[in-house]
Amino acid sequence: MQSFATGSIFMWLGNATRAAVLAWIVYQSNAFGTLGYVAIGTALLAMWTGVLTMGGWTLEGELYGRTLDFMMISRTRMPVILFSKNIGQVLYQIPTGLVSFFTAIAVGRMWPNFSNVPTLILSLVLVLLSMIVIGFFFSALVVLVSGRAGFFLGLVPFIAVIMGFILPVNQLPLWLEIPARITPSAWGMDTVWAAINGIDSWATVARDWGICLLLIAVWLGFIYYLCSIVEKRIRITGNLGDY
Amino acid sequence: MYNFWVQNWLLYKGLYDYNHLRGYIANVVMQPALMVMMYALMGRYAMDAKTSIFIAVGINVSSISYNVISGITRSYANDRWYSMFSILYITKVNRFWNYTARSILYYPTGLLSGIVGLVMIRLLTPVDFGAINWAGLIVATLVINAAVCAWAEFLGIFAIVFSEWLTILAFALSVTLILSGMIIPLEVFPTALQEIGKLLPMTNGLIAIREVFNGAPFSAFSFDILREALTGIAYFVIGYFGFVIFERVVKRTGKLEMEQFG
Repeated sequence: MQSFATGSIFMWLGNATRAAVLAWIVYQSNAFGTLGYVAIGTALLAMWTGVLTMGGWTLEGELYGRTLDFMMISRTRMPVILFSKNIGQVLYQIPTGLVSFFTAIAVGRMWPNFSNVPTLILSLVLVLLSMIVIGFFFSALVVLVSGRAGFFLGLVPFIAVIMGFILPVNQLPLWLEIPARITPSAWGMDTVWAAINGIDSWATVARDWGICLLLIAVWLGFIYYLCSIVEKRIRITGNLGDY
Repeated sequence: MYNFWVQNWLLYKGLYDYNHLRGYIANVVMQPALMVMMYALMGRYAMDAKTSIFIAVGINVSSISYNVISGITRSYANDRWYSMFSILYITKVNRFWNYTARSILYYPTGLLSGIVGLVMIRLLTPVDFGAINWAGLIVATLVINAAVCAWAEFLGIFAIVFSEWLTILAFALSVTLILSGMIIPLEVFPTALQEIGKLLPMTNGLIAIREVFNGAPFSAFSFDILREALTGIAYFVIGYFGFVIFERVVKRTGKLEMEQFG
């Protein structure tokens, strides 16, 4: 079976290559103001890919190895366990993100000019929180569908687009922007864009931060409810996986 | 013939863990569509509509290769992990057909990925479908798909030797994404690298596909199609020899199981 080490090589190599080609596209366009956003976006995309794939594989492995059964007899609630796993996954993917970021910078051949670094850092924290929450959602779904994680891998590009990692969400076609605005990271990435290219209005930034936090809370509430359904289903059917 | 198709099906269904309905739809239908969407949007935003077509066509071919290479290399790696080669090597199974059978059902999988990507190209880029040389497109797609299957068979030998498919997949996708002209035009690279790129599958086929999208006659890209076909044949033959040689080495040394390599 693939090991965590080889999975990491897969992540690093694949994500670095993708960061290189995306940065090359921007470099060719001479849109150097976009380079910073793309570099950060590819890093977040790399982290997100890792959260979904490695997180999905580890959950699959736990379901297959029956170690997830202990979650059901533990006093800790399932949402807490899954949420903390996702925090760990996101933090674990930070080196992958950094590899992609510096690859994009190297291909773009210039260090981006970040207009407001403190705002950028705070915005990135919110985006990472959003990533944890969305990853938490998919973790609950993986458990719900008994580990058939292969389904969610196909969604990685779509989720990355609507989370605003590839392009600012307001640049997407309307049919994509509408579902994108439901994700908290889309609002967070708007503030990342502002922090990189210059803040026109602090009221807009504060509004976007507020909506991001509100959506995080809404998603957390929804996922907690989803986890309750999952846990109840498992306790009634006694079936934590089809293996 | 019946046994041959049973073998094809078992190698296809049994050795690729995501070959259930949800995983198939996600990886063969959704993933190519969404990859083309992601890169087409990026190309349109960063540059222009013409570039988005160039990039979308390249990524569509990359999606074909992702599904085919991951499936075939994983089937070889899983065969080794599940100790099925031990059983294979004590049988009189025709080695050529066993080798070939691993790619038979991935051929239509690759085609389906390509068709889905083509639909997304139509929806998201201003490509003029009326100008396309459709006969050329069909021929080019069939040849590229075959070349990708052959490349995957070649890579499968490394999957057997190293009992690993993920890193091999990542390496194959990375090399072809950079050097085969999918996103970055070949002309950007020095001549030596361009020639190395043309030794990879998909490179010559992509040149032909882009000519096809411009409505060029068959004579304009027939050499590229031929070169793509020959590249595929070469990888297929080399891969087969690797498959046979691996069995001979294993039988001579008596070492096959992973544990023996520590």
